[in-house]
Amino acid sequence: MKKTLKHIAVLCAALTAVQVAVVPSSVRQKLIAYADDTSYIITIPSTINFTLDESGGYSAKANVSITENTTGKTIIVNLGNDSFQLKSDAPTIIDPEEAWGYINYTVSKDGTSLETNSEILNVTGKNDNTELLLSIPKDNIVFAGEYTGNLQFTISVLS
Amino acid sequence: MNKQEQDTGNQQTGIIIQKKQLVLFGVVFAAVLAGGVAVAFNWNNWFGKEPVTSAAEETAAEESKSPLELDPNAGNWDGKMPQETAPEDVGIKIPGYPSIDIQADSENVMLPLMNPEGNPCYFHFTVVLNDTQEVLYESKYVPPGQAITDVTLSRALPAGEYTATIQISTLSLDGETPLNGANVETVLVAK
Repeated sequence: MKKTLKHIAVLCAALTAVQVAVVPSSVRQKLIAYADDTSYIITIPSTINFTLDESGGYSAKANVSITENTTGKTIIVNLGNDSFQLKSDAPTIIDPEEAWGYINYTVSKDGTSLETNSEILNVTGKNDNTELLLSIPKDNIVFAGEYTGNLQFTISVLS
Repeated sequence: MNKQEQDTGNQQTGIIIQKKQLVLFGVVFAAVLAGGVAVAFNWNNWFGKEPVTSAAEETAAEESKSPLELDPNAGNWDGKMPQETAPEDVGIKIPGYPSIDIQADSENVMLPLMNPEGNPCYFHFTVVLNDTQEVLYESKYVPPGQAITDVTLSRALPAGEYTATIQISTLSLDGETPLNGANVETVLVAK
């Protein structure tokens, strides 16, 4: 009986050791694969919210920032849009001379007008931000209605 | 031999367990029990395809109510989370990696596709090879605070480095409005 108890104790210890060694190892592999030691976080605006400004047109601000960078490399953010347009929700709005259902807006940074796919942020550090100004000139507003559009950003790492 | 003498004799030839042996056995038994309970609670997280957690159950419940197709492979994120920002900082956190190691010659790979907690939207991921514009993987919607880690690619990649773009499109939490998105360029290192 004494020998049996001893065998049981050894078996229990062995089972415990296996659990400690094997199970956390599989979890540890998953965590290592996430590569959270070499990553970055870019914060982009969630939406574009235009409001009436003093010129009679509409404008919006968009902040883009880097809030984490453990890569040690330069992170570059570009405007990934093919065009700067808002699209009407009502496709029945038709202008025979202009493309219907769209409103064009401009994007500028520090007073400088930007083109589509322009670089807006270039940073090696952990914290930096830039502010974009989006504007719809008064003359661009031809038809009333609801217009929506999104910004697409392209983020790359300089190797 | 009377009964008392007989009992004494039985006691002298019976099982003798020392106190320290009893304590040792108790400690070992408690350790095995604790380990077993830990494994039982985390079995699906460590070995199963889908984590069975309260968050996943809530997601499944939401999926049954809402037409929005959530990705069944999304689970709670165990890695490092972005630091919380001030309440007035409204935005979408986009995580990225300069390069990601994946298993070569295998369709089933580990690829971290995370939607940071606190984001005001679902993420939809599409992984595209830059050279050929081939779609390697496309997810369903991933809720904030969850991540897809186990991915089945459209084809296995031989060993090598592949420039790729993780296209992130977003959808508001009410499932109705697309929000701003991002294309995250990276290098898939198959080895």
